Amino acid sequence: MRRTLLVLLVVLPAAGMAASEDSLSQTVDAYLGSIDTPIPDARWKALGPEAGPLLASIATGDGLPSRRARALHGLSIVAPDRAAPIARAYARSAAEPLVIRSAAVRVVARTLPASEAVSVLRPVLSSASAPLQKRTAEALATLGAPGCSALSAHTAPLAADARAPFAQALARCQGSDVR
Amino acid sequence: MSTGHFCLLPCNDPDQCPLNFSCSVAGTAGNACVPVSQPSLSGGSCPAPGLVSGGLVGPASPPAGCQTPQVQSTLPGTSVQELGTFPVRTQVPFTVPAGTAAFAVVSQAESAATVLDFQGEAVANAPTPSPLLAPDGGPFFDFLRENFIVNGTSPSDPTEVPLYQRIFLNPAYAGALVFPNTTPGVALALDGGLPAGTWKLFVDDLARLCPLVDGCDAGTSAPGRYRMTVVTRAGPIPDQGRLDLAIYLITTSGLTASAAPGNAALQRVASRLVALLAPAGVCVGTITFYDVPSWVQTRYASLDVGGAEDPCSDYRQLLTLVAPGSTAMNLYFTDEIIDPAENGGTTVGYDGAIPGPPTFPGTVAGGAVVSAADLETGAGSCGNTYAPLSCGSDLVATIVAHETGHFLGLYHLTDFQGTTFDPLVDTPACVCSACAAPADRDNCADQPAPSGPATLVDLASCLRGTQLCGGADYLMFWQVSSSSRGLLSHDEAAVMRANPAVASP
Repeated sequence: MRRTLLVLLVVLPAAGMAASEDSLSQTVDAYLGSIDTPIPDARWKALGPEAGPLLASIATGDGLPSRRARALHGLSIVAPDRAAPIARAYARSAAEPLVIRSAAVRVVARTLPASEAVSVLRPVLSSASAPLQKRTAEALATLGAPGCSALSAHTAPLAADARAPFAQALARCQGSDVR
Repeated sequence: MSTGHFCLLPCNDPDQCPLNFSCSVAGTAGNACVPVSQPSLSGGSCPAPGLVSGGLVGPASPPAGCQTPQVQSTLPGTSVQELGTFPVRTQVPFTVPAGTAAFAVVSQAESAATVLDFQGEAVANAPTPSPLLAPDGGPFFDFLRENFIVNGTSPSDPTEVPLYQRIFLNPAYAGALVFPNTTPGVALALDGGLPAGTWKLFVDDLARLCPLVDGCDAGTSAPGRYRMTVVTRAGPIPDQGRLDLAIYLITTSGLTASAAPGNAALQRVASRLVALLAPAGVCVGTITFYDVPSWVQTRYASLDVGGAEDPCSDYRQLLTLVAPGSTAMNLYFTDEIIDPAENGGTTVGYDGAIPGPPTFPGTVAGGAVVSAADLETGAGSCGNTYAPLSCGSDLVATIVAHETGHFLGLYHLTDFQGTTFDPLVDTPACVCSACAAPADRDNCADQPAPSGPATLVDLASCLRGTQLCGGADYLMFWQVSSSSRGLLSHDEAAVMRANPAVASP
């Protein structure tokens, strides 16, 4: 009897943890598998930092880009410190698809101190991808004065046509929004 | 019933249950006799769709200002009744010919408020033609009665599935009421069709109704004016119909319309679409790929669907880009879809309206946006089996089919919190308080005091093979998972085939 109790004491917590990990993995799968139902921040946050390793492994894995981008977004909510270096690398990586780079620039703006985020994002404004330029400009605009200064400096020498991707972010910096 | 209201017989043993019921877990009530899953559709045969290039579409430079075009139906004139343009609260007659199985009432604003404030949230001023009166004067559909408590009058009995059900998933300025979309409606459509004669509709929108509802502020805009059109479809509902697709390559991946028909990933999307929709009798006809001008890619390849309630938002404006003369369902393949409801997160599909205005291409409510980010990824996983979690083409095909289902009038079987359900009886529901893990049931959204984010119903909860706790393997489930099979029910198939956008063979 005593031996049985000892075994239970050892086994039960482990079994409980396995169940919890299963449940966490299942919930993350559900969030990443949503087709058109938004997953609000509060849901990601409720997963807690223990979701960090799983989300980091998905974000840096070789799965479908849309799932990786969503995992990076979720990671930035549950474990911003863990998300920041991944986002910093992906924002600048021309090898990554747009959906991941775009998620990364938003995560950079959200997780790094403003001055550091500006230094990561400024070079991305010169990316060959106009949609990425646009999202990077918007990420900079969320950083306030330092981001807006960098954006203005980048766009000032550009011809009017070349400024198109930056128009919405510039308007935000100037306190008005345009479509 | 998929309305989520059940009377269940307690049981301890399967022998205590009637035929086609199983003794299964039913939430805090313990075990009960639960209807086993009704058989979904299988098989079906459709010819392979034709894949063609449609060339370049769209103006060379951005149009000036916000576009809210009023468009004509692409159906022949015999099926279309242009009723005119009227202010809200105008009663307008229209004709339903004998043998009509389906119809759509399409409202397009000439002028109207765009956004309302409902208890602090921005809500689209959706056109809501209601009530709709049959020739005998009886209400066929009454939006107000079904959805609100007005002057102490309760909404209609929620356990009763109406002939038509309207759910708040439509934008301002353009919208459609498409019959049938419920099980009783499908039964009526199959059983000789609608009462023939002169029907009446009342032109209306949410702004007009807003002052009647607590916490709603419509601002000071003048009352809306709407161009009203009715399209009818003669019965019977065909066993098989054809739906052409127009795919606009907004993506900056380098994919072009001329290369698309020969692209292996898109060929896989096409064949997978056939496999998903053929069991429902919906055959994909021609898939036409279109290039767009570079300004369209710059503006919309990374699409933010924020402010979708506003007809002038980026998302709504993209939907006005259509190929002239096209009669197809419009799909916009982008590189990403950013959803502000996720605070910078992304989604993979977004539908203009549920249902979309059928055969009215180019309104701000038409078509659907699909993320093509995964299209060319995971080719090694694209074998003989359906693999939407690892084969990018299969995921894209699933999103296309799911959003097409929305456009044609299908809702999610169960919302992700397991508390609201589609109005079709033969689709499985997944009732949170019955199907979630026991420890999570007290936190279901419909329980007295859920704490934190409410329990969601997912694969583990919704794959038990009963009508009470099923649906995770269906196309219109909210989540793609390793158990997705893209299933459709008989009623779902009938709703899709009855839609005027699906052509008779």
